[in-house]
Amino acid sequence: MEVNRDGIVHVASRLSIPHLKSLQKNGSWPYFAGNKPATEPTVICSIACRDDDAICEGALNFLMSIRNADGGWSSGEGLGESDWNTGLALFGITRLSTELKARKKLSADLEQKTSTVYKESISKLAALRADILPGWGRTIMTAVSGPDFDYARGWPWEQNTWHWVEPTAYSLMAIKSGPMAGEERYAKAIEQAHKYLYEKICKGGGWNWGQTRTLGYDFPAVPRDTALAVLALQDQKGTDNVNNALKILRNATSGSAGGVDPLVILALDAFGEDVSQIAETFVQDYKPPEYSDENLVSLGYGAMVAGLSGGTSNGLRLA
Amino acid sequence: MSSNDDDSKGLSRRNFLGAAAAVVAGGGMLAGCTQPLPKVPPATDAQKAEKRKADSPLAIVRCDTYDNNLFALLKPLLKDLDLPDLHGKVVMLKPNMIDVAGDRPTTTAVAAIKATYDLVTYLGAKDIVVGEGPAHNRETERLLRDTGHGALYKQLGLRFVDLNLDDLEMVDSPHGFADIKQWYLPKTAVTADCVVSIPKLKTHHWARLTCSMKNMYGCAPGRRYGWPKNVLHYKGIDNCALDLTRLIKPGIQFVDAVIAMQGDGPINGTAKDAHFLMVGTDAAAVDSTCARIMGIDPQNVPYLRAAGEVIGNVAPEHIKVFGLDVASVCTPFQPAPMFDVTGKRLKTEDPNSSSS
Repeated sequence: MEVNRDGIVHVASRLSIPHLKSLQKNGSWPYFAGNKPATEPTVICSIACRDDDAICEGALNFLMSIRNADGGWSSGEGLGESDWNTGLALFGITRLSTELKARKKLSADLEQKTSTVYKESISKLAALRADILPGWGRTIMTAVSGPDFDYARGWPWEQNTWHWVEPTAYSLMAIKSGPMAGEERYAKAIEQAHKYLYEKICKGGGWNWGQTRTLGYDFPAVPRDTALAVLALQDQKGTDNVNNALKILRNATSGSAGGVDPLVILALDAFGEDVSQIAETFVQDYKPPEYSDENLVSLGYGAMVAGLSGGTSNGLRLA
Repeated sequence: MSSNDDDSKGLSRRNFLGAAAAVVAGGGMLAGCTQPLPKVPPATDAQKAEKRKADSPLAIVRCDTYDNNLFALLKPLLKDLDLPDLHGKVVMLKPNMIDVAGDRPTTTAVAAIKATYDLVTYLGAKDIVVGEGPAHNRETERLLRDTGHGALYKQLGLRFVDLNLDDLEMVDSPHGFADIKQWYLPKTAVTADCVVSIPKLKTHHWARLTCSMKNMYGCAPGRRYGWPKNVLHYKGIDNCALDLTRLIKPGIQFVDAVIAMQGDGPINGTAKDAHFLMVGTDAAAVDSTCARIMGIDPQNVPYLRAAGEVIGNVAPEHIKVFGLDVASVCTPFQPAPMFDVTGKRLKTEDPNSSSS
C-alpha cells in the first residue's frame, strides 16, 4: 500500500485488492471495519478479490456456514428469517466456485458442497418470489390456467412482502449465473421477473427502487438501481428497454467520475462499452467518505472498477 | 368449453382468460383491495400498562428563521419540561434525512440539529452520536453532503452512524401492534441511553403526518427491511410507528417546524412556514399537539389515537404547554392528497403497491 509522507494511505490505494483483503476476517467482511460479518459485503468484496484462492475458499465456507436452516440467507448469522440476501449469497457462491474451478483450484469436497448448497438453495430462492395475488385470485387463475399459472413478479426484500427492483436483480443474477437457469421452473421464474422489471421502468427509461408513480407523481430513475437492473438483464442486450437504460447510465457518467456510482461503470462495462477512461478517472478521483464511515460494499464495487482499470475482468459480468 | 373455443354465444375460455388477466394485471391494486391495510387493533391491557402516567409538559416557541439561535429561544423553558439528566449517558440524535428533492423541506434543518446538540450538551451529554437510516437511498454520503448534515457533524466532531447498515440486535416485541414478534434493530439505537428524535414536521401521504413517532422508521435498518422499508407498510404503517416508538423509546423530541411541509409529503409536498419549534419528552403528546397545530384531529390518526392509550398523553388536558399556547401557532396545513384537513381519509390507495 502506498503511504504518503504524512503517513496517510493514498486514497487511490483504498480501492486496491490488497487493502480490501486486509479488511477480511475469517472469510468474511462487515459493512464497516470493526463491525460483525455480513452477507452483502462478503459477497461483493470476495468477488472483487476473487483472484485469490484462499479468499474464494474462505468466503465460500463462510457463506455456507451462515446459511439458514430453510436454505436461504439473511443479512448475517442469526439475523432472522431468510430474505433478499439469498439471491446475493447464491450469486456469490456461484461466482466464486466458478472462478476456482476455472483455475482448477476447486477441491472436490468444496465443489460437492457448493453444488449441493446451490441446488437446495435455488429452490428456496424460487419460493421467495413475491406473491402479490390475493388467495382467491390465485385460486381462480390456477383453476382456469392450470397448475403452472404464473404472472409477472420479482423478489421482495423480506418474505411475504412486495417485490422490488434490487432484490429481483440479485435473484436473477443468482439464477442466470448458475447451472439450473435452463430448467423449466427457473426459466419461467426468469421470464416473469423480466416482465416485472419491464413493468417498473420509469418514465423516460431506467429504474429506481421499484416505484414508478404514486398519487400522480412520476418517480425518476436512479442510476444505481438502473445499473443493478441492467446487470440482471445482460442476456437482453439490444432490447429497447436495456438500450434506454444504458442511455441513463451513460448520462450518469458525465461530469466528475468521482461522483459516479461504481455500479454504473460496472454495468456499462458488462454491456461491452468502453469504460476505460471513466474507470481510470473514478480511481484517480476516489476519496473515502468525508462524513460517514467507509462502507465496504461501496469499497468492494469500487475495487471492481479499479480492477477494470488494471485489466481484471468484470466480476458482475454473467457468463 | 374446449380449449380452442371461440364461442360467440358465451364466454369462451380465451375471453375469460383475457378478462381474468386484465384483473390480475391490476394485481397491485387488487392485492391492496383484498388485503386491506392492516388496521391498528384495540390496545391490550399489557400494552396499556406501558403508558406514561403523569401529565406531559412540552414547550413551544416561535421561530421565524433558522438564522436565530434556536437553542437560546428554548432555553428559558427547559426547566419546566422534566428533561432527563444526560450526564454520563450515551445519546443518539435521530434527525430526518429521508432524501433530497430539490429545495423541498424534506429533512430536518441543520440549525435544528445544532440546537438539539446544544440541548443535550446542556443536559450533560458528552458521548453523542448521530444515527439515521434513509428509506430509499443507499447513497448516504451524498445525502449527508447535500443536506448539509454531514458538514455540521464534522464541525461538531460527531460520528454519524448509518443505521441501515449498523450491527443489529434482536429485540422482542411480545406486545406489538404489528405482526412482527422480533425486530432486528441497529445496535447504536438500541444501546443508546437516550435517543433524541428530531423530526421535520410534514404531512404524509399514507400516515397523514410525520413527526416524532414516524421519525423512528429511520431506526428500522435497510439491511434487514429493505430500501424502501416496505415491510413496515405491509405490517401496517401505524402499527409499526407505534411499535418502533415503544421499542426505541425516544426520550426527547425536538420538532423542526420552522419551515415544515404540507401537501403530498413526505417528499413531494411544498414548504409551509409554520414558524415554531417544539420540545417535549412524551412522543404522543408532542405528535398530537403538532397534529392539532396543523389542523389535524389526532383521533383521525390511528397511531396517535392508540398512542394516547399505550405511550403517553394525547388529550390536551393532560398536556402542559409552556411558552406559546397552541392556538397562537395553529396554522392549517394543506392535507396530503388522500385526506381532508382534519386527517379523515378521503380515498384508499394501497401503500403496499410499488406503484399506483
